[in-house]
Amino acid sequence: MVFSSYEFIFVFLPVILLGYFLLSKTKTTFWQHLFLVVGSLFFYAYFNVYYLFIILASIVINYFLSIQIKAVSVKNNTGKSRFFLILGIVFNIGMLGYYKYYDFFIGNINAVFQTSFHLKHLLLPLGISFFTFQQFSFLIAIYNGESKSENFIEYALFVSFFPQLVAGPIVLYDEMMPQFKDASRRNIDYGNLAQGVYIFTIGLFKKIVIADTVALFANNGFNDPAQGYLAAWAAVLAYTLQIYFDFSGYSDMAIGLGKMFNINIPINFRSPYKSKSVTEFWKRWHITLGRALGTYVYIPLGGNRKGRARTYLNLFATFIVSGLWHGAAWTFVLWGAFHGFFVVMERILGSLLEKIPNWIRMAATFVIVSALWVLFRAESFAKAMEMYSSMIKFSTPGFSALAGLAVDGLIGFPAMLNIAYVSGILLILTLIVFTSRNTIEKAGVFQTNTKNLILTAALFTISVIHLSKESIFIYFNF
Amino acid sequence: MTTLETKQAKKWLARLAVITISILMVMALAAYYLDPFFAYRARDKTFLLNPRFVVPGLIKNHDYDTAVIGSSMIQNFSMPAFREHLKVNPLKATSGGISISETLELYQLFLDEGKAKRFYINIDIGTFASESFMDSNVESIFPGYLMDRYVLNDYQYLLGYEAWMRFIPVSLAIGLAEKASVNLPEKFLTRRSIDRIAEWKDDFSFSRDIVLKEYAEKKYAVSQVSLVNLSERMTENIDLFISRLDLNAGEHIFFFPPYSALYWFDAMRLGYFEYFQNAKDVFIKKLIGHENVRIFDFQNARFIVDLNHYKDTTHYSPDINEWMIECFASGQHEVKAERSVPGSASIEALVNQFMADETNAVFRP
Repeated sequence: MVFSSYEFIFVFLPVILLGYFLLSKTKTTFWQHLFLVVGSLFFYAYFNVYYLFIILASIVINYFLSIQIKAVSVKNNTGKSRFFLILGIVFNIGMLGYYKYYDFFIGNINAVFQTSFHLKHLLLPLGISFFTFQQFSFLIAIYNGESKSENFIEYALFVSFFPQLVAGPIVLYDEMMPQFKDASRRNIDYGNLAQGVYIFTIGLFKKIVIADTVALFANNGFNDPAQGYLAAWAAVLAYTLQIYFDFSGYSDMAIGLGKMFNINIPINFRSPYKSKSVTEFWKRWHITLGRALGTYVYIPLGGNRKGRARTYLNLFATFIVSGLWHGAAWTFVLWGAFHGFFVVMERILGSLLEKIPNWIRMAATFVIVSALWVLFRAESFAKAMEMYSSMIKFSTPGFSALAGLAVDGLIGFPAMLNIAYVSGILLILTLIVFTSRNTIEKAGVFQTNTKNLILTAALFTISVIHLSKESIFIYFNF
Repeated sequence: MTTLETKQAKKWLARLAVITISILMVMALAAYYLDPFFAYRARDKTFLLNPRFVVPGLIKNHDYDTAVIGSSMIQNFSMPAFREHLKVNPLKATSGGISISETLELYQLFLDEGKAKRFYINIDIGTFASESFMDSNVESIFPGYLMDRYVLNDYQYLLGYEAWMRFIPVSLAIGLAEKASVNLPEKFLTRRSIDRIAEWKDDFSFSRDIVLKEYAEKKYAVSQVSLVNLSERMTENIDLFISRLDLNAGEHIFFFPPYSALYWFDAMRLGYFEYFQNAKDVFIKKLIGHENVRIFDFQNARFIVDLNHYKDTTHYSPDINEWMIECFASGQHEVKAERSVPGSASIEALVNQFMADETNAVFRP
């Protein structure tokens, strides 16, 4: 089930909210937690029942391993505890590897050794990268004695809580479970509910109205990249805006949903396109992934503790892993490598870059990040190259091709009208990402006043009108 | 949270619910009244018509006695010409690149409505090569909520993006501009005519040069399909198609449209020609002789060698559409039960004639 669907907004969410808060009358949190787990698994299985078995297996095995790690740790049996941790790491990486990277791995072997091993074309379980990462982090926390798991239902709730299950934010056990167990959060809080509805509605609008509108431009542009540099840059800008409004919209919805249940889900985006460097961009974009990669890749590699050269290497390696986490293709690896390269270069150049005026740094970062999204979006390396070649072929402006970006097969508008529409939308949205306050900043000063009432009603109504359009969240694929 | 804040938040949420529900209800009522997709009533020359959205409503609510179903091959059929030559009251039900299952969906809707006494059905034989025919996972181009008579899913229409963000505002704007005597592009006005639904003849020119250019860009004229089990697959699909027909529901006129000789040349080059022609013969053999069935095969028409009648390898000019309607009336090109020579022989002869012409040497491999 996706958040931006009739069944989620008008059936699933009201039922689950009502059920959850009705169960607050019970003595302990057990029934509330069980209800949320069952609801969350239903939410997940709604995409594909087959997914249910995968996530259940993952939860059960990881929980079992965590119990073993904890049990042997109590007896100070470090060797055995380490064994179970390694088993857990192998299991999680193995599962991710099997579902996500098998074809990539075999495809490369076939290409290098001229073999013809069969590709499995497995259906990637939604959100597998997210829930695997969460469980992986949990096992390490248990091993380090930083977390303690108390019962299976709580653990299952931590992994499966539907607002963050499919596309994050990537949460930690210790930032979620104390909240679920807090008795003061068990009952309905109308202030939180109102704020949650407000945040959810903004996220919904960002996804279904804004991201899906520019998705049309991006899809048309990337499907036929050789239409001149204006159309190519417009398509790249459209994708830059689409991925931000899509993913940050999803994160806003997750945060808003959490708020409705009196649960604070960590922030994932903080106006990333206002960044003045690629390094800063990664502190504002998919913040919880950055946190996880820092904790579980960069620091174990040595972080900045082993000298300058090693720090650069560690940073670069972390971005390669980030690329691979996003997708099993060389285009993603390359995307990660370029980001790593820019981050390392910024470290090397350091104070020199700070002498450049902020607006130039901000513009340059935006251009770099946008250009690199081509690798992220393109279906293949060849397609990415085709797009890059169009972007620099200044002899072919392709002004009229801009009109083609807005073609949706519904109404054939005159070309000039389409050009004005595409240019207008891209310009307005670009201004918004550079100047407007983000959802979390808005939510911070939220009040139940008339202005917010009208704004929420308007955004919600417009969003509902857009629900009949088929759409899927970009980050569901990761 | 204080009691006062809780009260305020509660009130805010209640107001939000009332406001949004009220707005949505008003919008749904307005969409029901305006009805741009004719789901409740059909009105000519009012809204811009996209066949994907209005055809289901037209089948349910328009006045007709003859169904004309098919792909872009029929979109330039003149409905007045049908009335004049065939003395019928037709409704064109079409979508570009329509699949066999979508053709059957429209056909079934006509059957359910029970108003059509005649069915003119275009047969693009290549579509029977589909590997996904009757695959329920392949989504139809026609939205399900418009195809059915189930009212509970009409919210997807009454509060839908296509109605509210596209067709209602644009159609209203055109109506207002017209009232204010603003000069609008001709196509905006013609696209509101039910008779002219999906018509594209004014958007393109027809000439050999244009075909040549198109051919050079597209490389192949025939959609690439797998040759593995092609014959069995096409026969199976034809059987499935025929099994879904109710030949007692009225007169059924099936016709094979006149693609250019260049199309058939490509089909030969890619190895499809025999398969497609054999499938056509299978189709004909299974239906010919039924008292309610007439079949027209236009594929061996002499003009297919002249690319000046085409805009690409398959799409012909509107004068060909007019001629086809005349053939329906006169019986020319009608396939007779006693046909002894397979249609493929005459097409092959035309393709040879086409390729023998030195001006067509550019198409030779």
